[in-house]
Amino acid sequence: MKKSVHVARQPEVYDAIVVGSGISGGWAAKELCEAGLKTLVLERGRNVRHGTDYITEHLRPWEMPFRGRGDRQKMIEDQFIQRQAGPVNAYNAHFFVNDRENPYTYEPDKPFLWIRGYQVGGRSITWGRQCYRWSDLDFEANAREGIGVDWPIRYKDIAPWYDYVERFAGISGQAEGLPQIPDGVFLPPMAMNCVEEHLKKRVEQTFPERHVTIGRCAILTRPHNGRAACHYCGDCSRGCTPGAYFCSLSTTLPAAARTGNLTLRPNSIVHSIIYDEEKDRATGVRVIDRESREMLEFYGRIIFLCASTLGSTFILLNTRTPRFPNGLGNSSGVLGHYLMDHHFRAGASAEFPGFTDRYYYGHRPNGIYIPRFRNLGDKATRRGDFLRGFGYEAGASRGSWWRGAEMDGFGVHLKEALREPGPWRIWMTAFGEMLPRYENYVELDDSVHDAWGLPVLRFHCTLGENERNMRRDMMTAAAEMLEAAGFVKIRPYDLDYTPGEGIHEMGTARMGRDPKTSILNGFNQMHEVPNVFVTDGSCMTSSACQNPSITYMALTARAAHYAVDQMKKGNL
Amino acid sequence: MMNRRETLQRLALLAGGTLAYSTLAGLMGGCRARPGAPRVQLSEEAFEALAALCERIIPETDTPGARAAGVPEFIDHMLKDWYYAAERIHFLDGLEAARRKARQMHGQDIPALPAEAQDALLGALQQESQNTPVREVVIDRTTGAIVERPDTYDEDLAAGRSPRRIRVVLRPFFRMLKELTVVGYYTSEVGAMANLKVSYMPGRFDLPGHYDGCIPYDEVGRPLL
Repeated sequence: MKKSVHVARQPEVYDAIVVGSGISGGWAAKELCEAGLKTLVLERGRNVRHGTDYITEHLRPWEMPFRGRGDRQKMIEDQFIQRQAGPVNAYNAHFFVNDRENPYTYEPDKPFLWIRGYQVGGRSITWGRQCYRWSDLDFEANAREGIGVDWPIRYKDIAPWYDYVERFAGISGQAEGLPQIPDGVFLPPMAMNCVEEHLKKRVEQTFPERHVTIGRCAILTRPHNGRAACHYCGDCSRGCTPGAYFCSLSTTLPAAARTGNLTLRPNSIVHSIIYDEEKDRATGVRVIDRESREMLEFYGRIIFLCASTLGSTFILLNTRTPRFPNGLGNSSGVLGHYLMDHHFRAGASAEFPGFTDRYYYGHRPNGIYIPRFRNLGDKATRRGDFLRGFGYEAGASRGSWWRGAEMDGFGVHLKEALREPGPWRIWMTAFGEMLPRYENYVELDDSVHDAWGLPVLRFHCTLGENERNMRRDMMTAAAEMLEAAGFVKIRPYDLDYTPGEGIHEMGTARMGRDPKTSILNGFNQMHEVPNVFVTDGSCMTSSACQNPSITYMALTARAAHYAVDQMKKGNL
Repeated sequence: MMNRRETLQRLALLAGGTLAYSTLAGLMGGCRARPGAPRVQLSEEAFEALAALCERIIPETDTPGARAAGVPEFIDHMLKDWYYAAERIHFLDGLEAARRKARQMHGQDIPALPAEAQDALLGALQQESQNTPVREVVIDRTTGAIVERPDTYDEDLAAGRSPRRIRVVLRPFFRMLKELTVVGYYTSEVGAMANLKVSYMPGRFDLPGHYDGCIPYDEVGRPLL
């Protein structure tokens, strides 16, 4: 290794280095620490202390600047990308990045929304919390249809790890016996409201292949592993002091810390991986200290990249060595390619004319789910116009005072009208699978640099014909269910999705059986650099249509146990 | 275990009480726009005209009206710090036009008019707003002034930098006024507590909230906050 006068040497060699502290990094930290490995977790963002730093938790509009509408001018200047994403609001904007400090580029007519949370806990603070297992319908799809490469794993390989992570994380949901979203280890399900129950009944009567279930979510419906049950304030993404939803800060990082094996270092931006040509191994990582801007090195026997899909891929692309001039472990040339997301914002909304004397109490931070019902492998569900499928997230509620801003009229009449809840409304939006395509990719862009002088990513990503065809069905199928259930004012919509907007970015360092066409093997281990594991969304070989985080948790736990086992056997 | 009715009663009781959030709210900057707060943008005359219109949009009934909830102060604050200059000017022009109309129709400024005349004025403004299309303009982000098209928004974002020019929508005065009044009222402590239901206890984890999916509306009695 070359010595540099600018490099401050850190003498300690850790058993493991984990890059990132979000959903995947938290799990890697917990599993490696519990196995007895001295583990260094590097987080590029600031520290966030569980509870103490949830500065907007339970604040009400009148306690917020601009009554919770956010400092618009500042957001347009500093968060010009982040502010475009649905989940980002004035109450959680401090958990999303500053876009001026963390830029990226794309062609103006091919926008990509890269929504990021650079802090301890990552996006596990603000995630959507929906958890659906994948099945062999998903793991076998590429092989069956000759798309991309085959997954090197099947459901049986990951099923026990789903059990394992669900048991610890706490997932509430209803067992349904549906093969496309296998049942898991569930806490009691949350309740549906009257209109959702009605929809369920009618849909299941009318369409035998369609089912309506309460959202399966990483929110506790009873106390679990020392964390409290949900109190239904409904504002999870501000942080939850009782730890009622799964978040690294409340759940995995404390477990890792309890072992005494965890060292957590915030403000540590990983520049690249240190690769030793002679040993043919990674020996550590180069880090830029976010505050001092000093370049540091940290050493470890194994490295887990859990820096988020594009964060991890950036680190690999930015690791350019004589053996790997195009990025670490990238002899195949597929690193950065096959970028996917879930395309959404297509579905239908409507009103329900009944149940006017019924209401609900509390803010349920969850919706209902209609699992995939297209292309399930039988003739009846086969579509000629697209492959794969989509699932709907949906929810019914009664109108709030917000409708007053757009209603006609003013005065006593308006005020009295707003003292009653509005009519029941429902929205349904499909989340659709996106096929892995080589032409959807990221590359390093050396013409623009971030606030620490690093090159940035340049995005090339658009929807293909399969997704465009699917979007038509996402509208039609929603509208026909609402019609069958007696809804009125049915409005099918396609609100023009921008890639990345699903905040489910996946792929770019995919798993596969063949080192010539993939970066990682079936244990998330780099084919070419076996002591580096990548267990976040970048490993995904296809995208399915289910929310991916629970799969990252399971893959991470599985990879960590494999790595520990290999170390014990002397193979790593 | 408390039953639902007990829980609701207990929550209702506590919702009226004082909550120790002043410190945190102070740290967050809070919202300075409370009833009686000093004017930051509007002249005293313009403020009074605005306040009179807000109060007719959400009048005092058995619950407080817009004025008692600090809605005019909220709008004053938003005009100064939230809107860009072009939007602010657009709103202020609309307010001036409304005052001129009052003087033309009734010979007096808005605050001096009887409630019926104020309502008639609002009715006329509402009708006018229905025939006025929204105007999309391009503004310079740093000055807030309207500039020539094209905007540079897409191009700037694609290059990874803050947009220099952005598009904003100028809605007819009445629609802006009404939206600001409704939002300002129901996001105020006075307006929300008097008209809506708070279903959990902010900051009190020892009083867990709960969720009922399907109950008679009468058991809740008010829309949820």
